[in-house]
Amino acid sequence: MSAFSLLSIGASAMAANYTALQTTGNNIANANVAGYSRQRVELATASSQSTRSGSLGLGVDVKSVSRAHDQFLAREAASAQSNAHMDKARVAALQRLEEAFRPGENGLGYAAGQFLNAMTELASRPTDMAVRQTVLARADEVATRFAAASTHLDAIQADVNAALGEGVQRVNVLAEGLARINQKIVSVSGPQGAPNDMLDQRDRLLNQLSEKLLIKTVMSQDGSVSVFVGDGRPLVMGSEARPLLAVNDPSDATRSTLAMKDGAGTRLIDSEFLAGGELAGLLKFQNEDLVHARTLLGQMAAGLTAAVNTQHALGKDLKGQPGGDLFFDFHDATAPGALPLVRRAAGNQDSAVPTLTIAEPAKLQAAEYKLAYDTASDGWMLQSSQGGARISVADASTVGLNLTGVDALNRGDRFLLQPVTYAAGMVRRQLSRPEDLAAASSSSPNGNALALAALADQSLVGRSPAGQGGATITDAYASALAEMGTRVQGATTAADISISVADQAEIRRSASDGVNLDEEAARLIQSQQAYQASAKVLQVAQSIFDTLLQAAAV
Amino acid sequence: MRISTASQFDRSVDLIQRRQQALQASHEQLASGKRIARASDDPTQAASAERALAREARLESHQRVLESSRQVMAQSESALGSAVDIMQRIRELVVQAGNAAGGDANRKVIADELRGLRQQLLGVANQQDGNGNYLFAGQGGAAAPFVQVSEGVEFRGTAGSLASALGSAAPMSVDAEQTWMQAPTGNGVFKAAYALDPTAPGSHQTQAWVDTGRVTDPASLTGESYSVTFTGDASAGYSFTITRTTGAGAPAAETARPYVSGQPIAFEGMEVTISGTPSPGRDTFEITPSTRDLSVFGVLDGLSRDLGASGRSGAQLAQTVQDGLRDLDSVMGSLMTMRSRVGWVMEQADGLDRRFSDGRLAAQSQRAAAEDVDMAKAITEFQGHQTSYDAALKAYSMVQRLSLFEYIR
Repeated sequence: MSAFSLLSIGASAMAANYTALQTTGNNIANANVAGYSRQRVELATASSQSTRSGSLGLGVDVKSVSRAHDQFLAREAASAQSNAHMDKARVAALQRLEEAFRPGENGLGYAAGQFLNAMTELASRPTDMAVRQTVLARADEVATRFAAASTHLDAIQADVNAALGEGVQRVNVLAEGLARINQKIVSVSGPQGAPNDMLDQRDRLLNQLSEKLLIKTVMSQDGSVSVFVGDGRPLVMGSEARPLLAVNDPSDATRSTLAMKDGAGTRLIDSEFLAGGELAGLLKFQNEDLVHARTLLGQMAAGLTAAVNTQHALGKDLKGQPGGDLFFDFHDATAPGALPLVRRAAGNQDSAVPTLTIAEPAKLQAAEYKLAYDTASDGWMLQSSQGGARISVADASTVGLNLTGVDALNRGDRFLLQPVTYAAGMVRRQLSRPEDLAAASSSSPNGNALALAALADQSLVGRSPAGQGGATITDAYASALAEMGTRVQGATTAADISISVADQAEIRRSASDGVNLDEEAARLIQSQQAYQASAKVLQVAQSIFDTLLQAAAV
Repeated sequence: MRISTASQFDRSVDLIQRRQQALQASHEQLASGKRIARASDDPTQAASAERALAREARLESHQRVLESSRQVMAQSESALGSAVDIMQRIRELVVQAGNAAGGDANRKVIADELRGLRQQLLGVANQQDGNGNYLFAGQGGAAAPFVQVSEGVEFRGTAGSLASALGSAAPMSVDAEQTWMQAPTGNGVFKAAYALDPTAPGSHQTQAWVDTGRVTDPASLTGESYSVTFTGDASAGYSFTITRTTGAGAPAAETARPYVSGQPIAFEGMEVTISGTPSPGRDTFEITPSTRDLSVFGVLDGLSRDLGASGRSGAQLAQTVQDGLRDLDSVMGSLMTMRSRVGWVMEQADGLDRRFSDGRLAAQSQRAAAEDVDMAKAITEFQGHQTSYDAALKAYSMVQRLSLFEYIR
């Protein structure tokens, strides 16, 4: 029997409970810190002593301060966050995009309708200068609204580029941080594992990174975590971070895409492999929604201006001369400032470029086309941005296009055909004087004005390959409006769902890892009581010792 | 199941914010009165509203065209009315001139008055609307359509009428050429006339005249031209021969028939009556198919020339007056027909205007139905959102105060 053992038992108890109190206090202090995993003191019985009367316990040890962390829940929460941020980014951008398609009297469709309606008044008074001025003014209004929509889309593209640039910078900063903390963890880790707060910090960095990009993490044996993005590109390997880059899309330099440097140089990351995160949302928006909006506007611009110009040329102006172009013919390759229709991909070997002309503007689709050589069918094929089966060059007329000069191309090269993508920004009035309006036909002074007015009821946009169907200009705008609205609605619903899923995942994660103050309060009381009891044990041990001393001091 | 304190607060805040957002959206709807501020609020309704707007704008444009047309039609109708009034006066004068008791001097006065009225008529034909456009220029023009040339009045306007975007329901002008220059000659089917011009040198004063003629059997009409010549003398009696001068086998002469003054001569589904004493070998009457080129001014010019000429025989006078009345009726008929057609167009325009107004109203209603907010429903929803926002705030204040720390003092 030893008084010391009671002392040491009491001391160990006090120390252990003090540690428990400290840990509980730490939990309470960090209750509102994002990503903090609550810590628990693991107490274990100290090894016992074998005596004649049996085995006697020797108090309590603090085995470890463990960190509540469910790896599975954490990963689930992080990937759900990635999805939520991707959808949120897309919705925000789509809501801005929608502003280019205004309904009502301020919209494009109304201006186009009013322009053609002005033709009926021209038909009633073909020689009246005031009426002719009105027609020109309405043409200006159409051009202004197309240009405004196009400028709005340009601004959105610029913002997307900026946001991607900033996002990539942030990713790189986070990656650097991860690399450093990996290093620290590896160097500081003891047999108990890594310090809890460092693990928490690393998890926080990983979460922040997940918001930007969907990541895959792999835990290495030395305790560091490696991060992979896209199609398995290493962003962080141990204590080394590889920079992510935002670069110009080689097929269309106004757009951005992501890339990473590796041994061979800069390699692009295909946007299809970026499945989550804000950057993926922005890229999806840029490559699908923004392109579609541009092509919708461009299809209408091309259909309207081409039909008006063609009909106008059939008439005679006040001097008896045939009508010139009412709107600038941006599809006429010989005109200065015409729309460039073909883009060479930056990685092409040859500088040869095919020639694209518009065969039938009314059959143009709201799409861009990737032109590439297909070995299976031994020919150049067009792939529409709207999906669907590929079209051979010979069948390009079914979508209103005429492509020549493909035989001179290098078969490894790629091209992007953009017959309507940037057309909306090129709509402007070409005819300068009211007397140049060709209202007359060969048989009557207002015959051509009547024909121009009748364009309002003809399908100018989106005819089938056989030339059937299609929509009038006002109907085409109404459909485009509805289509964009449906996209926004769909994206909003998807975002609501993914945000809800992310919230649920976060609740589950924090339920397992987070601090509940009531629980900590209870434990505080528990540890306090235990501490008081341990202190009492010490006190008793001390008094026993005193008693012993007194007994021995005679 | 545990709930971490931090996520509890986050969740509560999140729920409150959502309620607030819903309240805000409801408020926006109420304040603007529009259910659809942007297409994504309800894409199909937005598209429907957009199409309704396009329809409405188009109908409004059509109504303006209709109004322009009505103005032109009203003015044209009024001008034609004036023209018909003048023609009535002219007709009275011609009847007066036919009264043989008048004498050359009297007829000269009438001819002068005719010339004056004819000038008035030219003024009506060249009338302008308020904007400086000519009512009877066909398809519009900068210059007066009826121009005096040495041979008479020429039409320098354009053929046809100016169509508007609404087609024949709302024309922008009257077919002037048809109105003033294209009345049928003769009786509408054929024209019977004395073949020789009395003012030509070497012509004589004929004592016979032919009437307007009529169609007895439309099925027998050949549409060819004929000439009637005479043989015989006063004592033995006169005979006439009808010779077909055009068509296959022309000239083809019939056998001579005895001539009786005032007796109808029937042939090939037609019937004419020649009266008076013919001069064999010198008098020839021609029957030719009607053409549509009788000009109002041509008729009047001819009448005033012939009535004012002196030294005409009674037969020639009778011929002049009869031909004159026949032609006057023809051109007057042309004017009156056009006038009643204009009146009919104006009546149709009223109906069309009503239809356009109804169409506009329907389009506006459709747009409102798609876009505008149902106030009663919106107010109810707003109050509902208000209540739930309030409830969320109260719940928060009650729940978040609860903590074990309150109780362990």
